[in-house]
Amino acid sequence: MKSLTRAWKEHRVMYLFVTPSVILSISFFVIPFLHNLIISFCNWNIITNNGKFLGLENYIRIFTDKIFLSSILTTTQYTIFVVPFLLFFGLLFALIVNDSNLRGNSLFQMIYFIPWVIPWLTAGLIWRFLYNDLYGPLNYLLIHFRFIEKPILFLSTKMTAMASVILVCIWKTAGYNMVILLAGLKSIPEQVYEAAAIDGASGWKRFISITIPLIRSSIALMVIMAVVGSYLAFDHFWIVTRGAPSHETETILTWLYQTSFFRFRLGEGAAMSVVLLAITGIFAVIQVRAFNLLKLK
Amino acid sequence: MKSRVGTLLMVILVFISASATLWANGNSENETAEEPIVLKVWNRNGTLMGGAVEAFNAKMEAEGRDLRAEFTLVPYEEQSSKFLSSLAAKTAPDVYAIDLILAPYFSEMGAWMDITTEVNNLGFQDDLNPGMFRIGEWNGKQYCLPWANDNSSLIYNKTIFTEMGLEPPTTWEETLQVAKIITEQSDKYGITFSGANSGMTMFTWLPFAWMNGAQLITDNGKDTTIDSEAGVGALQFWAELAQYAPEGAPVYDYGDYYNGFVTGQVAMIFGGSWHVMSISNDAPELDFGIIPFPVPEKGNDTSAFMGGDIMGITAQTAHPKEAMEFVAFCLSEETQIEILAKNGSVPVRLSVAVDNPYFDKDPRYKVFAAGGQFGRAPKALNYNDITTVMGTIMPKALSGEVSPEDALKEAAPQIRDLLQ
Repeated sequence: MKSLTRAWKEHRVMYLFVTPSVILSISFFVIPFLHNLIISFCNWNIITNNGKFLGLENYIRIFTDKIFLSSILTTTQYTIFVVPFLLFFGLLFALIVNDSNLRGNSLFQMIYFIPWVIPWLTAGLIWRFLYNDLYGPLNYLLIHFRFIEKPILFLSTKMTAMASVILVCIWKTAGYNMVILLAGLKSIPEQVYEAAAIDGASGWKRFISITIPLIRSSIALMVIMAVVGSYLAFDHFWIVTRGAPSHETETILTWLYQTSFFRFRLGEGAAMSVVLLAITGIFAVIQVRAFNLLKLK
Repeated sequence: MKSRVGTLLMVILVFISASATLWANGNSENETAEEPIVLKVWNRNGTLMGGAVEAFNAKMEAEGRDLRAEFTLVPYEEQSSKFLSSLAAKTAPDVYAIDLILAPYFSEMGAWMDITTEVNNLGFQDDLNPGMFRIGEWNGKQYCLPWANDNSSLIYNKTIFTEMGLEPPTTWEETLQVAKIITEQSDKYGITFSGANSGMTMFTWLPFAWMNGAQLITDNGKDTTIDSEAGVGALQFWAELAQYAPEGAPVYDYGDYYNGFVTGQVAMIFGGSWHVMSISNDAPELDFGIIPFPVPEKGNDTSAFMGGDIMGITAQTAHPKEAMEFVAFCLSEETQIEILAKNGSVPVRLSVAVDNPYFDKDPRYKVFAAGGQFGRAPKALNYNDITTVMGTIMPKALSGEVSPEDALKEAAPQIRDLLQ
């Protein structure tokens, strides 16, 4: 208590400045989260704003819901496949535009970044149109140039639909990841590379021994955001596949949304959101600790 | 000393700005208290409900009354989520016209005002579409009334049929034959589906199950006969038709299915009454016709899914009398003709549903309107849950991954569990 009083006396101005953010965080995150947690244990009536306590019944129901379990698997598979590609293309584009001597450097930056500013809805609709087997330009061009004889059914099986959505995600977010990694690249002093070059280090050696270690923080940030973002995948799956075929490409969020607002099972939807928060929280903690360990080495 | 003065100054500043905000808000609320009563009206169709709101406001203006309506467009996908959020926040509209399959859930949870007495005093309640009227009833009380009717039928490309020398089909066998001929003897497809859109699939497939003698939900609301021979037969018909659809059709969403038809690459779709106006606007050169759904055999009765919107006054309204006045205005013959029929929607007043000046000009609407006489609308608290189950097995049956019998054997127990 004494230390609190002392801290208040010494830093009260600072605390006053922080207070609005704390109030906003409590109002828009903590309280809604606690409310959501309560709903997850109840059969909630949104009009009377109360509900019958069900204990763990909602959690039992969602863990016996085949589509929810499948959505966890699908989301995990999606994350495992998409994150390495996002890192690869983000780093590739960042390395390209990091070369200030490259002609058209600004143009490349703009081209890579433009998909990021297109809303997910628009991007999803564009790609859904491109993928269509009847009138989509992709199939038309592939058939026209005789790469294929019959249209590719991009969205008809789980595998092809996932690959199609991953492509959309890479196209849309590689530019954003490029910006994060570019910031890291720009922070590396040129003299480090010059010294390495003088010592006879090849380009590949400089990349592995200098570039990667020195942009570890940027990579960590990008990967953590990509993993969390992938687990929160909604827009691109909702627009491009809508969970088809037969709910095989439902993600946790698309199924949660349908469970809450289409099937009107608010308690189960709340339980799913708690599970999703736990998953993303655990992954975030693991990743932060892993990258901190790498930094210490 | 200086830091104490600084802190005190900052606290005073925050207090003043908070007070100013509250005062300004209070003032604006005082200002609105002197304005006319404004009814908040929500719906997914800007042309229809927006038009009704405009007409209502014009009438109120002409009568010199301080009553207005204000329309908010709610996207189809957000009908439930937006309404649920508004109910929780106590900011629900006064009047909400919602897809009829969603209404029972909101009736059961107490979202609507009981308008039984008001309906009995309407004077024309017996003229309202009875199938839709039934959906608005819950536990012996009336909560919602029909607003706009959408029924399902077969839409076909007349140009393709003429070029191929074909007649529009009237039976299931004829439908299979024409679809086969078109797909195998031209560069078009006979038919397409919206396999990934379970709502659209139910809207167009269920009538085939009904006309063959199967029921998704039995009359007592507790069982299903969808896995009966009749139900399997109806799905078998669709599975055979799917051979003549684009291979991707089992996972098509609404846009894929619609675009396939309006671009002239597909000869037939099972669609709804809204298609007449939307196809006419999107593809004015496309010559298309409407016929009732083909029947299993000659002499059988056809069927249709009776969809559309029903409207309720929310229990949170502060203006129940005025809201009911707006609802009655929407259901007047004049509004039903001049707003709904004029814009290609089937009126819910039986007296003008089929015979009105606009449908006389374009008789294609009369086929859809007739569906309002013999069509059915499923009524269940958890209709969307049931749709989700069917939405899982239908694409599998259409793609040939499972047989129709196995698909419905998988779905039926889940549906029975949901209906208990």
